[in-house]
Amino acid sequence: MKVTFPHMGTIAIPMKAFLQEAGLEVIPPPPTSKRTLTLGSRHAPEFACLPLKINLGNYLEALERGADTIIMAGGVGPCRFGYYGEVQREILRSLGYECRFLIFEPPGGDLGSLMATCREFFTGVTPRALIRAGRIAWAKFQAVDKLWQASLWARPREGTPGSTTGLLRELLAKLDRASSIATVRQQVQEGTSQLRALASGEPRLSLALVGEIYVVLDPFTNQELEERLGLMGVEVHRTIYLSEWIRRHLVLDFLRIQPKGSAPALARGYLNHKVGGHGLETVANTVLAARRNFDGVVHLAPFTCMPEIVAASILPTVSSQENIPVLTVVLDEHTGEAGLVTRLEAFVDMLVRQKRQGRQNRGLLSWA
Amino acid sequence: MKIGIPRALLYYDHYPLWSTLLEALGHEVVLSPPTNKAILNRGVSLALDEACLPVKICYGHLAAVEDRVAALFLPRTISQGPGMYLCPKLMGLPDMVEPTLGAKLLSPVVDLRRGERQLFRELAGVLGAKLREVRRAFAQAQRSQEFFRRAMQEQKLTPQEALAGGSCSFGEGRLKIGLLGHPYLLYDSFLNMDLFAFLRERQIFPLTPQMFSPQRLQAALAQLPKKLFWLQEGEIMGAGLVYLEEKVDGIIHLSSFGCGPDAMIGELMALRAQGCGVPLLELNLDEQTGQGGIETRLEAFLDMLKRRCPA
Repeated sequence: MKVTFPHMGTIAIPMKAFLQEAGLEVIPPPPTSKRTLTLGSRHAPEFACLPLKINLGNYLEALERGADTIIMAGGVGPCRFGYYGEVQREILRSLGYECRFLIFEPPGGDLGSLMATCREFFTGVTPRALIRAGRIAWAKFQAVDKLWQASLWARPREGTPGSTTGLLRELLAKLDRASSIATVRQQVQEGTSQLRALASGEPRLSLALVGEIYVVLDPFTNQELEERLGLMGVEVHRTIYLSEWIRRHLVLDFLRIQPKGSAPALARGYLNHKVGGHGLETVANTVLAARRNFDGVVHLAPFTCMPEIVAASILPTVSSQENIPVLTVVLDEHTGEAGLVTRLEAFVDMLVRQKRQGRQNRGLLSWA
Repeated sequence: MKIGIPRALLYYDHYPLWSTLLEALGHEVVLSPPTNKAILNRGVSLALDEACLPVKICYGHLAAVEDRVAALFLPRTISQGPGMYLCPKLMGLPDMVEPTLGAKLLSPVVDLRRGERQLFRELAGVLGAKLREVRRAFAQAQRSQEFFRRAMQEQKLTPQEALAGGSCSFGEGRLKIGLLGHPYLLYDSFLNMDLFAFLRERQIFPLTPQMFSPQRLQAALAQLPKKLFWLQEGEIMGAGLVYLEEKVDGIIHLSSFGCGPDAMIGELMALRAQGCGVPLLELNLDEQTGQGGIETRLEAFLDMLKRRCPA
């Protein structure tokens, strides 16, 4: 069995560690590229959201490299993600691929199906190996996020432009090779202090990054938006990290624990009900960003994403009532680099000017 | 109180239920006019660019009726049972449209996973009525809703025909064609360029998802490896599978630009139809759709079907 999985930002590092530690053979898809996107868009439904298309491209490229088993997460709706696997499996079948396609339903959903899939997938893996694999994967999930967060802090402050990105790449490659939890911990500690040491100036602005999880986490999909903003001297506060998401939605939800400072309370008055995906979180985080005095918010959404369309329809109201500028960027396979850069530059220039003149009259800025 | 209901989205599914309920509670129901160019344009200008056509239309209908009423009725329909959602945009709709409206919006949360009692309490709160009255009115509303549903199913009527108490215009046609799509596309004759009239002129009486019992659709849906978590798309997908069982000559799937769930089930349906050798035409509607283009494609599709089955 040669296992593969779809990319999403840096998820390959912990996923690979997990599967290898459990004694399975892993063939990760090559890093997402233009070719991945082209392959995926060619075979996916036109109005499917972007992540579905990129996933499909990832599978096709991994199958080319000899993978024969695909693992994917499921969901309970109403966001389309919960049905991705079903549609992707049918598409691959119609293209003539004879691979195994295993969909892991969330524990809060169909527990029976999850257990059955686990039994099928982990045959021959001892519970001990599984626990060891889980522990190292969790350590790496957290490690990646800590390093990433440190890089977002360091980049707008760096003395030599580009030094943060270079160092982060090295650190992630090293983390990928780390084979024990102790090494992972040590690397995080050293890595974060190395990143901090790159700082010499102060950022011009601080922006909150909100939106749909896949496009926020995946630098290929969002055209390295965090890096571009960082190089313009903007400190980006990402509102979603994968390790935090796992803790909240897979562990706490399953145990039915509601964390404090919850999104529904913040969004109340603007959006009064969950709408699936990250729609409610997007509205809530925009409100939070305004109350914490961020200079602005960048909102990312894949084209046709239903929850984010709800959020994007509501953000103009949030923007004017909470007095925070919002830039909504909708991403699809046709998104061009120059168009995005122009918009980011214009947004940043406007905010810098406003900041210099004192904050007044701020409002929504969106060409979405 | 005069209460406005937009002739959009779930109007085609639940109008008898809500209008009977409101009238039984002593309100006067005002319905927005059938979709027209002005309503479409108004909706397009009010809604977000990326919103789908039916949502834009709904903005237009609300704006068209709001001046004539004291409040607008737009329930926040979340779920009709365990694991059965509506599209996220419908869940968020009241919050999306509210900033564009002058009139008061009445949006009870309809989430049947939480039980009928909770629904009654919610309706009583939003409509300012006593719980006992709501319960009685709701029972009456459910009867008229069931009557409406049965009329569509048993007499093969469109929602408009069923609401008008009209007689059956269904007949034995030359081709057996199944229509797929959301009721708000299938039955809005402005949006679909009067598809029914077009087909009936050609002696074609299409089947619709509403002509089958929910039990039949559910049974067909059980073929899928994973249960669909959207109610409306479940009806569409179930109807598509029923059409394949019924050996239709062809399927026409109406969808709207940017419809999220349709992109998923449309693909699954197209693959299944292909597997059964049944031709499927997907017509994608948006605010720029022209009548000529739609009719040309329909005619070509029908000609092709006639050639395939020369009887």
